[in-house]
Amino acid sequence: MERQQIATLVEQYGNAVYGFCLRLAGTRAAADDLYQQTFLKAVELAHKINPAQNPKGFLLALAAKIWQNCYVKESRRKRIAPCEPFPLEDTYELHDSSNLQQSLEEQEERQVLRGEVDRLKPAFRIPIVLYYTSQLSISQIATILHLPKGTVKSRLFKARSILKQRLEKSGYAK
Amino acid sequence: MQNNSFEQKLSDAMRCQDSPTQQLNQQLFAKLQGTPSSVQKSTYSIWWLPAVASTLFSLISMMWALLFLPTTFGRFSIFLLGSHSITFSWLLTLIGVKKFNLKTATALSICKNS
Repeated sequence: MERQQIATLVEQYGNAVYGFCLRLAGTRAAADDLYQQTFLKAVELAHKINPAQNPKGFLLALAAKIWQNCYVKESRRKRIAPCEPFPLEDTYELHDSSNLQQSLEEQEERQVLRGEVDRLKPAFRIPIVLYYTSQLSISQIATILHLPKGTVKSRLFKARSILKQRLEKSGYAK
Repeated sequence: MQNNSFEQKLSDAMRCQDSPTQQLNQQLFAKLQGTPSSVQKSTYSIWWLPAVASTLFSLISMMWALLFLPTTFGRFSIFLLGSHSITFSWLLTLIGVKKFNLKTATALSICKNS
């Protein structure tokens, strides 16, 4: 696969990969880095990409692997010198003034939920992001992560219950 | 909280409509032009080399001790040192691979002329 074909992949799957990077990395700056690193790594591994065999899955797997490596380094760094990253700057969209309060509450709840997803361990966070953000099926996630389908299902189930518990603890249960 | 409602909330929260900025894509394309392609460059990791070298040297020392050292204490000491050296070199390699990204850190880039 030539560089030109990688550029075509950027045009075809750029949005999907960026969305995945953004939800995984948590901040826009980190997502930008991860997005670029993914495609630069794809150039190195171009011989492994088969356009007929789900290149989107390959790119998402690559992004997940790079993020996981960075996560390990980052966690080690945080243990030595703790610091808090700036969260995603969420914009509040107000569509209907009659439901203003409800709309704001819902958006706040979504933000809290995203924060809780960011706190999950990579083993739970990656399947959740692949399932809900990239809208992949369980079998596709299993192929990407080289895991049995049952493991993916159980990780999704566990992640959902952790998130649900934390959300209820935060007082957002209705 | 009902499961379906939670599922919907999670789905809404994780949905992402953002796309990469034009500037980011331009930067990426510029970097892509400067990156050598996979045909020209391949990587080969030598993460196993220190452990294998340590094992070989230790085995040679142990063999030498077995053949040439007259005292049992000397043989035993060299055996003990050698076996410790082999065990710990593999243990350190394992820790390096699992925890410290040793495989990518020790990758050699080989340029191919084709």
